[in-house]
Amino acid sequence: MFILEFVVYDLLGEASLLVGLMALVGLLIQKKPADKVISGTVKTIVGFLIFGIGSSAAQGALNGFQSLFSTGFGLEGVTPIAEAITAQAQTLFPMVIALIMVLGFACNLIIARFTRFKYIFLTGGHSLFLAALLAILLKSLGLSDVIAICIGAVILGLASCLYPALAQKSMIKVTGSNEIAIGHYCTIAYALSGWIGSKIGDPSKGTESIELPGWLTMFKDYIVSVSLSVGVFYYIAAIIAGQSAVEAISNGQHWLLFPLMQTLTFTGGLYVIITGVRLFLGEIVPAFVGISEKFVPGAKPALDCPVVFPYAPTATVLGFISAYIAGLLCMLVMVAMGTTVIIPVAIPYFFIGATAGVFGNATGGWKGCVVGAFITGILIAVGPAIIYPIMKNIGLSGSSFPETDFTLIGIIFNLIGKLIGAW
Amino acid sequence: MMRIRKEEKKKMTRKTALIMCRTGMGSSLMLKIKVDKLIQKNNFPLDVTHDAFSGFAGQKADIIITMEDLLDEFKSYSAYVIGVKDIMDVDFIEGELKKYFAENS
Repeated sequence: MFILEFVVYDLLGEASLLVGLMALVGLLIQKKPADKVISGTVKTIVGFLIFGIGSSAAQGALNGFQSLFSTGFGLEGVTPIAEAITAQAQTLFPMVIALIMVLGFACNLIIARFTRFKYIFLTGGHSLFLAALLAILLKSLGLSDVIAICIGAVILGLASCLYPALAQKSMIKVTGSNEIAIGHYCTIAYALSGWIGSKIGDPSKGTESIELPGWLTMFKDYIVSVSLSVGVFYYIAAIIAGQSAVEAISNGQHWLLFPLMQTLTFTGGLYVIITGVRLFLGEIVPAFVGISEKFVPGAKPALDCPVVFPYAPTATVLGFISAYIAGLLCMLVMVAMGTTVIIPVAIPYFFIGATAGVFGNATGGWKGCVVGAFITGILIAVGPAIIYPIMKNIGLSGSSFPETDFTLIGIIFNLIGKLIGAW
Repeated sequence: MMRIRKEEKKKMTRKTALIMCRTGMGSSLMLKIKVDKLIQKNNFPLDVTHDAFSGFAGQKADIIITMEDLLDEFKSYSAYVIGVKDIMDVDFIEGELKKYFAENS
């Protein structure tokens, strides 16, 4: 009895070890040699722990920005980065998130096996983000861990099959084949972008004949991209808030140096988070691939958005710029209206805007690319603002999920929460 | 027979491959799964790691594998660079790796 209690509450209550155990089982199922089993299990556990370490570094820097932004503008500034908000949620419900992710994958397999929605969602990062969102939503409805995990897993399984199906018609136009699906939870935006493109443009007048200036490609680099876009807004917030407001939180650092150091620290924290996610997924995703190939032969893998980038590299840059301009305009409108302000951090706008651009280009040429990405830019600015109150309610702050498909789930939960009187 | 094979193995020096994408957790991971399968199938003497290309500086590799739209980022390096357009096109990756090992062993 004593040993059972130790295993269930102490050992498996530690989410990192629970995740390690899952990796261990996955590696054993794949019949890996002993050295690979050991190194894979250790890396998964350490990856999960690194994830938490990056979270506290990024969060500290984000808090400073938030406080300056609210002093300067009298409004709340939110930076929508899925990695950051997931890392925060992970400190609150690590076990619920880990179990929703793994059991959700099992639901994905079952749905793909027995329905016509034969998609296997293999973007581990996005499964993790969705598991975090679902944990936040279900726990804020006041459900117990067990019920939250069960409902969360079913919803994640459904999302894994239904969302890729939503964008598949456009995806075929992008890749020219029906072999892969898009596994990136902005499929509403991508499908919309593809649809808009087909209405307004001409796919023969594509983006790939346009020459763009070379320096634009530096946004491809994660570190540069985050540092530049966060840095600009950190300085704006610091200067509007004024010298004394900055010095109050800068611990003696010069007030004009503080925003720079905080920005770079934030980027560093975010990079640590991704490194953790990479270590952790490096063992989990191959197990998912192996299991799905056995259990659901012939299913389409739904893959991360950069798999479509080689089909139209110029559209990725045009799409990013167009979406980012939309994000800037939305920010100005939000400031004017005095609501929560969504700060256009380059990362979501890059990945999501670029993909929307590729989809729009495939159906409507450069016009489709620009307009599709612009509409997407509006959606990923308004969406995080809509679901931010839910994040805040449960004690998370400063960040939110930009993904359009998450916004829809959040809105549905909001209705349910209001209906049953939980919110 | 066994002996000859052993000697052959000794002669082939192991090479390293880096698989890169923007964050190192999406497309590079899928590429790594495909490359690992090819290594098993063909017995390539190749060790593979995957990373975000922000983390590229300072890492040495004989082969770099990435999605085609990132090819320009690796122009100035001496490594053998493979740019993949269609992530499901395993034959292309296999052909490129075979070409590399034919030239460099």
